[in-house]
Amino acid sequence: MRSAAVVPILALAIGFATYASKALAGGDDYDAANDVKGAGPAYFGFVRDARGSPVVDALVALRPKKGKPVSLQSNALGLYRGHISKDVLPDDVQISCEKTGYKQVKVYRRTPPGNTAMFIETECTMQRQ
Amino acid sequence: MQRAPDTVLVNGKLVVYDGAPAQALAVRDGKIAAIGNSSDIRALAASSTRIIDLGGRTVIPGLIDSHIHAIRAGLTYTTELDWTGLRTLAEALERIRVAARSRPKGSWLVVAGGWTDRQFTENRRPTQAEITAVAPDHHVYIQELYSRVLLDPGGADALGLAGVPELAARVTVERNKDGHPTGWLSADNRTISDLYDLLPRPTFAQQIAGTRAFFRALNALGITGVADPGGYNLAIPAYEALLQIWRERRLTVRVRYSISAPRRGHELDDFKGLTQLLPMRFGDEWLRFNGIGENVTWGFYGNDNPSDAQKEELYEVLRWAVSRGMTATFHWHNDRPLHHLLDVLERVNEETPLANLRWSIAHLNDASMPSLKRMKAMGVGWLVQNAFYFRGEAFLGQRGADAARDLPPIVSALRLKLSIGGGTDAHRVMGPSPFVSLQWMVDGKTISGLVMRTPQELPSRIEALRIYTQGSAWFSFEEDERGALAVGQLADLAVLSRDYLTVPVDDIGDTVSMLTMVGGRIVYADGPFASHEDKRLD
Repeated sequence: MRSAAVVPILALAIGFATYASKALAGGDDYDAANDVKGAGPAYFGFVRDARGSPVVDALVALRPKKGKPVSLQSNALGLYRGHISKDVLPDDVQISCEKTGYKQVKVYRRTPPGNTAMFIETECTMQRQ
Repeated sequence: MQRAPDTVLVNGKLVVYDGAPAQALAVRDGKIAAIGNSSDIRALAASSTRIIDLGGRTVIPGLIDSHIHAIRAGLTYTTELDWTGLRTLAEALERIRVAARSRPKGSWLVVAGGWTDRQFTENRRPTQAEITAVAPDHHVYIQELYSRVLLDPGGADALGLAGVPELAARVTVERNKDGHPTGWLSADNRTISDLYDLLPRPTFAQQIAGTRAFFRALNALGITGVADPGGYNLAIPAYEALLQIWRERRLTVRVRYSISAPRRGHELDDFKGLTQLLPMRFGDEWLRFNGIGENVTWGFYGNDNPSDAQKEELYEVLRWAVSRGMTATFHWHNDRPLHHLLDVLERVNEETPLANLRWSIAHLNDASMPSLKRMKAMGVGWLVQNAFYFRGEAFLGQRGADAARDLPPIVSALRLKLSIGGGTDAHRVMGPSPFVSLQWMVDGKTISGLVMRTPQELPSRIEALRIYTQGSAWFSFEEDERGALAVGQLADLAVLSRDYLTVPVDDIGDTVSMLTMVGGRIVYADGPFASHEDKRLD
């Protein structure tokens, strides 16, 4: 009963719906920060330890394939947030985190791959050494 | 001499808002007849009185969810699957596997919201390969919030999506890093709702069974009342199951409902037609009509930038609502464009004061104090739900941490003496547990454990409970009839599995009811109280 080709066919039928400026991808009803248009996607996420507690003041490096890396710092919530450039594709960005006395255990990009998302969430898990 | 009570509850710990601590109460004719200590209340009992020893358990007023899509949720409660509260993706997939064993091959297995990937220890969504592995002979539809939908490989075809090009054009096909479709489709709220509408409908008998089962599940959570705001996926004919249950006097939850605009561009005509013989508050103590909304006009529904024509359209509908003495509730998310709505409300308010109509704005999680003050000045209340419990991290990512430290400003709003109702907005964007919402109110944490709100905006447990009882009752003009354990109020209450006031805050969300009473009738009882449940009508 399966039609493995259905989704590709669907994609052809509907084309690739472009990212709508108002409705956030994912249907989020909250209005977006107004900084994503000019500066490109917002890269954000949380740096946490294995128990889920925030790791404060960790350095988060956003490294695009081409161009300069961007360094961000996690705040009291473990949250980091920043931009690279609107010309950099999120799929071409490698993210890592570091802090003295900790080692990076896992980096997990929650936002699915694709070039249209304007909010790229990546979680970083660290462990005290 | 007054007749003896029908029921007395003794040896409990009653949460009494404005009176002395009490251990017992007496119920007569569906209302609380007396409150006091156990010996005094027990002395009121006659041989005909049912006496229930609570064993020291905590009793709270029945909880009222002031914004829950209970009518819609009920229609499919027994035909869809529910991932609410599951902590692992493995458990979630197992539910699909189990359902697949008992349901006809080729039929749909549907999970329509109420979960988020952050609740799973695996910390991710399911994949198409995983759902195919557990249900190889079924179609599967997994909806996460109003954000995205996962279909099995044949699902889009079975839905007939390609045959609805206007809808298909609004959908984004998610792809992996190699460019292959993952099976996930993302879109805005309206589009996701339209996708859902392509699924087969439950039969009327299934709708009846589902509604009754869902209301019983609410009773098991201490819910005795709901306010339903219409919304997506709830056409007018879909109310029939609820009406039949009400006609048969089988409701176990008091339902207050408002009607959302059925058709874009016909809002005023449709409201006029639907309410010609349905005046404000028409109904009885179980089922009562409570005005219009949360979609009052389509031009103001999820639209942060309404045109002048759309403002005029809303104004005309609201003028009509005022002329009919009707309340209105509005779905609104973002504070920044809220002035569009408040401007129209203030225009109407200048002509006819709204204060006695008890209008409300639902959601508004990023409410600013200037906005709340404008609402307060008109007597417009605020319906608060725990959306940030699921969506807090996403909100922080969009707005940044500084924007969110005081949100939502529940304590500031209480200081302002703004009318506030509690709720969940279940069942697409949240599960229905009031205790999860209460825990979120008092600790400000997301499901991942992230503390978003400053301590200054964390209400006390009693303040939160008042919001979820008396506060919610205000919006249907019933704060003098229910929402508190007080003599003369309706006997709507819940005996809890744990002491809400003293249990560690992280455990509040797991609280359930052991005995739920609505109008003196024990509609749900479990554990040591199971034998006290009033005989079901069927």
